[in-house]
Amino acid sequence: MSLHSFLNALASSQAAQRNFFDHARRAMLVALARKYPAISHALLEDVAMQVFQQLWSGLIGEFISTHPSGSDAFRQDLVRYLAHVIAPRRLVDHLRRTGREVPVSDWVRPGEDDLSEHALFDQVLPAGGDEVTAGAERTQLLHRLARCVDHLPPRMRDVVQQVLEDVRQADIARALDIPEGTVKSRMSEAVKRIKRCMGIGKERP
Amino acid sequence: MTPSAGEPGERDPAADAVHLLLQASLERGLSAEEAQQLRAAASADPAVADEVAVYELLRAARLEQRMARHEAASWDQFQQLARQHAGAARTHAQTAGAGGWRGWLQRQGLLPGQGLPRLAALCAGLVIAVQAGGLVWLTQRPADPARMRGAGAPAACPAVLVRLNPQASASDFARVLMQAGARVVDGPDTRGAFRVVGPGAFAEEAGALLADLSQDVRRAPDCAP
Repeated sequence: MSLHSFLNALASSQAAQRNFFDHARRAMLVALARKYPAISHALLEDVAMQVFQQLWSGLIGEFISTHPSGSDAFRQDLVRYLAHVIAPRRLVDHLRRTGREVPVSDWVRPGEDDLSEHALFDQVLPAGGDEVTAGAERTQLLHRLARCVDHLPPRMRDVVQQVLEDVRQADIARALDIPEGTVKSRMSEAVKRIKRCMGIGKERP
Repeated sequence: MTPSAGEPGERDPAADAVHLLLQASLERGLSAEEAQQLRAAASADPAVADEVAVYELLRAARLEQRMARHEAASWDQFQQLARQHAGAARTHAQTAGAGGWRGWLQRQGLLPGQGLPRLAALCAGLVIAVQAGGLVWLTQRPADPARMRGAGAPAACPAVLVRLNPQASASDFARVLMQAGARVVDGPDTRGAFRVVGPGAFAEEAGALLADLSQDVRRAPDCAP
């Protein structure tokens, strides 16, 4: 019943809708992209929209929050539930339905030795916990990264920016008319400079 | 890895492999073995762990760009869902306000919403009522001993079995029956005979009444003389 009240209130305010949409969509896509790095972004977007459809249809019946439906805490609980329970479930269902292999890392449960790729890359960016705080920290880090990329020498910056725009290294090489090996070496050098610029590892003796 | 990577001319194959894996991670998912290889390298060398962290940031930044590219279309869809929900909630509130069985039917989707004409709703209700009546009749109708015996004809008496002339018209037959206060209750059977039930002495008089129209008139064998 409280979810129903939440949705009714959400439907009546466009500002609240925008806020919830940004928050929930980001949380779902970040969680899915981290856990399923090999899955295309377009599919992750589809899954996120399917979750929204499920939510608006009132079919998230098993969701329970101890907080009042109008509170931020309720919204936090709901977003966390959508991002970490419903969205992965829908993605795995989709992969099974379409006969695609579900990556091994999908089956790693919290508390077990997680040797998967998403755990490997889970070192700098905050994950889980308070979604809002995590989001704010993430935004800060990404702003710093953008500044560091801007300060790279142009030939490295071009490569990094194209990588960020989803251009494959082979295509970057063709576009810049340089060998693919040169793209890789420029990328390696850029990463070293970004590391220094971001102060990563600086505190180590 | 760090010393050799920083000195031109000296290449460390293990470091190169790590770099290749890190760069590959931007274009495809790593296998469990590759991820394990990177993890081992990161555990052994803090410089590798730092690079893994930078790659994580790059992946996150790329995800932000991907999200930004899809944002407008997703937001449109989300708003559409919200509008549908708001519309459904309004209909639900109106239906709930109407209350009673009609409200329940509408909530179950068995009655149309505002968009359909009232006549359609009325017809749907009529069909439901007729079907319900039929079901009640089927379950509540009195047992018929003759049918239970397998006689195949109603046991109403007095009755006769009439085989009509091929030339007899339906209107003549109907007129005679009406004058006699009789009616056809079954038939024709395998012999082509209709079962006709009438009042009082109908069974005795039927032969004379139907003489011009029939080939054969017999008292129904299941009726006492």
